Amino acid sequence: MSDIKLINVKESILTDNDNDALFLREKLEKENVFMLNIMSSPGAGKTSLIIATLKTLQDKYRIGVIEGDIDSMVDSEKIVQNGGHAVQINTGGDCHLDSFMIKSAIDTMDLDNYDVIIIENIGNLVCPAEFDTGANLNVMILSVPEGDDKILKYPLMFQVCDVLIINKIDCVKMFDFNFDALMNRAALVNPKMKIFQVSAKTGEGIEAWCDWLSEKITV
Amino acid sequence: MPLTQKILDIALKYGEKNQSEKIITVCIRVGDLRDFVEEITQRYWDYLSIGTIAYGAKIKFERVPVSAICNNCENIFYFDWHDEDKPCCTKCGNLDNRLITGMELEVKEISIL
Repeated sequence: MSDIKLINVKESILTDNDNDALFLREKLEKENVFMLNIMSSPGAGKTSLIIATLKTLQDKYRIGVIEGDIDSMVDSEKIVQNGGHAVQINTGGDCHLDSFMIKSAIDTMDLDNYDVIIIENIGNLVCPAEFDTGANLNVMILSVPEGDDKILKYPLMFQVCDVLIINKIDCVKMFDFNFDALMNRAALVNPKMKIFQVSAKTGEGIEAWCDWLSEKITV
Repeated sequence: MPLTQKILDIALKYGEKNQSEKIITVCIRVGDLRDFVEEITQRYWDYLSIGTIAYGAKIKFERVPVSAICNNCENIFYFDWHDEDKPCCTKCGNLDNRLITGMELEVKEISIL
């Protein structure tokens, strides 16, 4: 009878994806393209924020958008209607974008025509946080109606993001959103995370976000 | 499911490298801040591993609790992430701390025949 052998592995589960993301980040740096990855739950306002950002920065930068959805072209169509350039990824069921998918989308884009690429990830607070896309900046949107306790349920998302944008602040009076509780937890899980309060609908806070983003865009 | 597929890929790679006939167990280290549910991971595994030497293997979880280090006195302490208040150092009471464990995600070891 065969003996059972114990094999020491100690390998990160995401090694392959992380290697692809590193390769992509280096490629974009050589091409002078800055990429940001926007993540949130469905309906938090990713597309609205991207459109508001496009409108504010489109005279300054040439911006392309990679739209990730399980199905449909709805968000890409909105981007194009608002004067943007969009590449759609339909994952057909996968609940996140990974670096291989992003590389495939970027291979269809002429990088000479872009300064900035914005990824709109799949609406989901779990899997997108696990997969490095190769972006220079990870941005999370939390909308006021979702509540301040999302950080307890999805801490990884808050941990991997450089920026937290609290959207829909125009309706804050209708919800019991505890900013202090959120800030306390955010300060622990990710003390370097920059936080903005905006309303993509009314435009409140968008200028501050775009000014800060412009300082980060190194192209 | 995508992460379970990654675990399976790693287990198969090491299984084949060691000329295994069958993978018996896979031990993964998972920080408590990771969104992993043990029953669901095992269910995904049982589906994804059909037809491989890993089919029927048991996934064992080694959970890593959330801990922080105090930025004042460097005391390391564990705390309940779900408490409403910001955790304070158990030694000096300082509120300025940083996480040191809870984010782990790796295949630690496999047992094979």
